[in-house]
Amino acid sequence: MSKIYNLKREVEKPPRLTGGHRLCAGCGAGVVVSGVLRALNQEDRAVVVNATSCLEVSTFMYPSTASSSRAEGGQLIQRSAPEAFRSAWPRPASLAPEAQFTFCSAIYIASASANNAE
Amino acid sequence: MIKQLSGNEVVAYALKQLNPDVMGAFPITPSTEIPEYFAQYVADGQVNTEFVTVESEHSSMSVCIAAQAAGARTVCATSSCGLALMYELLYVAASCRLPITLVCVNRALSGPININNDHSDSMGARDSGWIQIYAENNQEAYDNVIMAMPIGETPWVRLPVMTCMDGFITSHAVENMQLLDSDVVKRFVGEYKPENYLLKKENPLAVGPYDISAYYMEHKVLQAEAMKAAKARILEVAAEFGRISGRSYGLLEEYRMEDAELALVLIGSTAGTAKAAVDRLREKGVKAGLVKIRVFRPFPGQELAKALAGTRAVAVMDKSEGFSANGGPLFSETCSALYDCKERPYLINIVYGLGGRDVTTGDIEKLFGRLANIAETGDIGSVYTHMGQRSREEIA
Repeated sequence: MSKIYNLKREVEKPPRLTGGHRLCAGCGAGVVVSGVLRALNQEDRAVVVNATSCLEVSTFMYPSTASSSRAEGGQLIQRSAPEAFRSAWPRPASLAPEAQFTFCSAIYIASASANNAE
Repeated sequence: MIKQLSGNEVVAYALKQLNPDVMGAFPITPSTEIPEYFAQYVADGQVNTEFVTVESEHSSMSVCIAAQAAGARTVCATSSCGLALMYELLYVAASCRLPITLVCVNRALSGPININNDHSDSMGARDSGWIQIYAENNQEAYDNVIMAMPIGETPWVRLPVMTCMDGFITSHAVENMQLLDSDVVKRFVGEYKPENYLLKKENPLAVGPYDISAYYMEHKVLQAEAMKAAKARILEVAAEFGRISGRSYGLLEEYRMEDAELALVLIGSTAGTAKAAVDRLREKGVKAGLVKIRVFRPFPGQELAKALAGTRAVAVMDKSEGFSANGGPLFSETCSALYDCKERPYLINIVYGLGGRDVTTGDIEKLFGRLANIAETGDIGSVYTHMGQRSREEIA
């Protein structure tokens, strides 16, 4: 049985699109993507796919990404950029080891038990 | 096991033996039969492959990229305009360091539209960062596909591999094939175990980021280093393959080059024709030889220079027209490879066989005649010419 959408409850979830991305102040894309990603439950893992665009280049700039794969105990788990690259190219020292990052930027949520179904 | 199979059939059979996780499939002449035969294997439950039919080659390569990034082993086959439609994605696959296997059945690229063989399709993709291995015949087409994954998937290479064969000449001609046992192939190729992949849940991953100028160049250097390192790996895999098959491969093949004074450099099925011509000339006492380039990317420059050392006149035969007004792509590579040699042979470029224009042993012998004349007189004439086309008068 699906829940009625409740904005107040949704915004209490930790964001999957973290701050610090390069979208322009006031850009609607970030708000929309945050809203879409909140359709995920906290324990869900997601594959986020984004076509090349302003949204992509602004939220997913090597070696970091604003998209996080999952939220765990209220704490965001993020991973650094392409492993294929990273294994051969070291992570910049400015990134704290726990601040790891994940995949592309947003819009299409390809996996995980996304909906608020109960 | 010996069987009579066409090039497409045997490549499909090799793919069945490799049992990839995903195939992105879109038909285009002359490669259509590969996904077609493979679809039968899928329907008959002989493979575990997710066979994804798509609406374009742009999508079939996208399927391969996404699936390979997710941790799957993926394959694809295409030709000509299909490869051209993948163009953008070829670069994405290579720069994401995804060791996809693509079988390119070489066909002329439009326009004018033409379905027959030349190398203009894969030569257009020569700088996309893919390893390119060309087959002379059906047997090599089969063997190259089986060697592709162990080459590309090696952690210090990690590049996509394009195995090429000549459309119709190889893809549709039936030859006696020596096939390996499926168990042997399975053991040779092994499991695909990428260290990191998208669906590894304990280590989620980001693929294909926007790479600003602060990092882009470093990543390109890594790609270039990988391509250089691929040479050694290709030879290593060839040696391992030799142990299971009894067939040996190098980066290039030297045919009667030991004491050759006149030589050809070429790629693909024309090598068979040229070998016959070389044999006939040898019987007449002409010191003719042939170098067949098997691996075009990475280009075996030093090996080619070594093979041509001691020759007096060489014709580089390009089966694609680069429109550089300065010769075809193989000619450029050969010139660069020879530049540092102390004693360089006279070098000419022949563009031939475009759009399936036939080349015969007679044509090759005539070309050797021209080389003999150049070696004797030192007069090259035109460095870059075409072969096999009719004159205006002949057409009228």
